Amino acid sequence: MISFRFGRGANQGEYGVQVTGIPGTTGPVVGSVENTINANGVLIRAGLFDDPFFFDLQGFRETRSMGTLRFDNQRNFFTGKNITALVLSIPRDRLENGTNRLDIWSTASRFGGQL
Amino acid sequence: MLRTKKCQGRFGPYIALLAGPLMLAACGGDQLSSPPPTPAPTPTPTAVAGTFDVVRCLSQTIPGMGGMTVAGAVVPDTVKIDFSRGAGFPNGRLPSDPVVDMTLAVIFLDMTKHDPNALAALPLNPLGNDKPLSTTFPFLASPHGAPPLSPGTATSFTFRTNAASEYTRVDRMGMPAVATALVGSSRKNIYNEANPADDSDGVFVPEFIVQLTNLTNALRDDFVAQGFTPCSTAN
Repeated sequence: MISFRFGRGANQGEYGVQVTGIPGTTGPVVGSVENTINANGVLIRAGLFDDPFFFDLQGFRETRSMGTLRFDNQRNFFTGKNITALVLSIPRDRLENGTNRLDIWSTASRFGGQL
Repeated sequence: MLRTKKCQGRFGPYIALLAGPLMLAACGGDQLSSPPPTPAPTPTPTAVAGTFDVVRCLSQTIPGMGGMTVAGAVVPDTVKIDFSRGAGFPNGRLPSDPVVDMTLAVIFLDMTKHDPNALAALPLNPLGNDKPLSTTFPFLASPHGAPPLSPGTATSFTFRTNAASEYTRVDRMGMPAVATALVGSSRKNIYNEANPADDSDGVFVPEFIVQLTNLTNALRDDFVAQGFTPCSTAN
């Protein structure tokens, strides 16, 4: 399991990320957000990006509530929106295991409970 | 937290998930340090005359995926990667893949008559991102506007040392669009607190059937009117 945890730097506006469980590394990898970290061939970047998802969420909700297709391919709910992303690039040979398929999932947890 | 797990062979016949005997080997052993209790399943739906049966939709195979069924793609709710096949949704997911239109196609349309790109070819939803995506790491586009950003140069940080069990799960992510399209609002939190092992145990299959049946009953005529052949069958 690969885990990310965010922390504060010494000065206002400074934030870092601590990553554990990266294949091919030992111990936590620590570095600043908004900066690409290279840990034994694994690239890590945590920071703010354009939200890369695209679909008409309003159309989906209307479709579900009204019972008729209401999608509009000119309406992207995620246009102009940003997201905090954690991006990892891991050499394939550290993940590949013969013909076994890889299943990937993630969770987000917050200290202090749901907002 | 990002979890990777090599699982295989846990997709028994779809109907087995409904029948009670669990023929699926759970993809377990990768839990949070304090796993939540197993959620109670949605009651198994009963067929209603005049509505449509979606079992054929969930049991149909996805073209080009080596025999993987729709049920096998969404249960458990993980992104699947088979390194022997080309990259691209539903084998992994490229940021530019039209995952919503492709997901809607395989859950609504007859895959012996159409392919997973049938709705993306219209398209039903926007076909691409609002900003050009990078072809190199980190593959995403820069943020919109001029938000305050960390300078990216600091080297000393303070991190909490609390155990994972002291944190509260607020989301889980796997196959895109599954939780959005096939989990009702009243079950979202329960779904987020569960794990792929629960998915493999069939806990949410009745919920998927309820939601897909409701959507099918409402939208089947719209797809037919557009010239598509639905995968659902009349009760």
